[in-house]
Amino acid sequence: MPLLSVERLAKTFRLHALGGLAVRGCADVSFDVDPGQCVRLAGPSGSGKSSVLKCIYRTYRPTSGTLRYRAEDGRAVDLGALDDRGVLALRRREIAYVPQFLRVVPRVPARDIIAEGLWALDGDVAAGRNAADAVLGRLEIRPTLWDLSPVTFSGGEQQRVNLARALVLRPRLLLLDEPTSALSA
Amino acid sequence: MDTVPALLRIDALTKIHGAGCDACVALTGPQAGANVCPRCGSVVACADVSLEVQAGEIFGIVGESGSGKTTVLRCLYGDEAPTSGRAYLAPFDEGRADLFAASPQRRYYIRTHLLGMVYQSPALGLRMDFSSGANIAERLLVVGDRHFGRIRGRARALLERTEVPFARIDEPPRRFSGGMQQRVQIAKALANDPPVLLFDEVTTGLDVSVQARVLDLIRELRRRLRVAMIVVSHDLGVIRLLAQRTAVMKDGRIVEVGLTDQILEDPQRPYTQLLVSAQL
Repeated sequence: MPLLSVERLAKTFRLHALGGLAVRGCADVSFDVDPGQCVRLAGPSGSGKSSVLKCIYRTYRPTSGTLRYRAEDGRAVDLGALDDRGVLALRRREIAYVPQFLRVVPRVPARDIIAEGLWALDGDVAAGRNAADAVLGRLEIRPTLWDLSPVTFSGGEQQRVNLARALVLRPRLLLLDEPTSALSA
Repeated sequence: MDTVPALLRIDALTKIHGAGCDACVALTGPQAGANVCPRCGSVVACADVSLEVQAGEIFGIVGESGSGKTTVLRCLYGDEAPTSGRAYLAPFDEGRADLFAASPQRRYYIRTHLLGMVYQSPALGLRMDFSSGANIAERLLVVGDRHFGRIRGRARALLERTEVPFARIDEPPRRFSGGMQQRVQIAKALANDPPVLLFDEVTTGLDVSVQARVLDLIRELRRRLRVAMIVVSHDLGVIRLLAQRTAVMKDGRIVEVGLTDQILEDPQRPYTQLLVSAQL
């Protein structure tokens, strides 16, 4: 049973300021993702890869198609039709998204940025920091940087913080948007 | 999938200034591009506003000046009497009684115990010539505590939480900077641990570094107290930073509600697209 089943997904943006001009994000996209499986969406810039990810995370509202997701409690939900609170509940515990670039408030230390997702769940400050520290260690970020804002970090370090933020939640579905495009080979 | 009942629910809130007529609501709003009724001249400040807020959630309301965002907060808090509509708060009669129909005594209880309001202008929320401590104590006395030491201790804890130097507890807010006045106002709003806080353009008019500190404080309160909030702002940056879900208002109506990132990255309605594209 797939974790996620994307069927005939299409996303069209309608730009009202330009007389309702329709811009295609993606069309007729279908694929399955099994638990533990890594699926790569390949294609040139503008081919709609990010649109697919953003529809799954529901930053975009899909125009048509279904996004059948099997939740941890066994229920199958269509992410496109799920209400906003349902989406937020899944984002808190099950589905994480790593944007192409890290975007953060410049005053917040790296470990707090990572712990924030856990704090939203239970408010346990110490446990959240410990979990954040563990992930930072695993991704080989020097401990001297943990209390600094990642704004000052190198591109590669920023990208690891970006990833750590999602990994700390131990998501069942991880959406990565061009995770290495900003980095040297 | 979410069966948890809302902490706060507003149903079809309408506020009309003036005599009002049968056509007021039909002839105003985003389609008409106005909030003044062409037939009777009444001002429809807001109409048919419905929303729900869960425990611990921050709900944003964004829109231009005159869109009715503040009116929604003022009706909820009891500063204005709604023309029609209902509102329910889970801790008030187990969510079964309409706040708008409550007696003046019960409304006063709601304002002092169940809701905390932070106004755009500190002068609306504070007595500017009374000491900061007295401003907070006023709230605590409502609960019935008359013990001076306890009240002062609680005022101290609240001022510390909002980063107002305790040494200035006996000074009137009139002598404070704008940012510090806002922090005293937040301390007062928190006095009786209300489950819902209402923020009306709290950072408007503050310079950016002070704005950032007030926003950090609000984020910290969310983390530590897990209190629900409605944050009203014309500034999409503030909304992006604080709110998980957002309603967009225009000419007294909600034109779009959604996840904040969806509102910002995939706005559906013409007005929302215009608002998002007007960001700096």
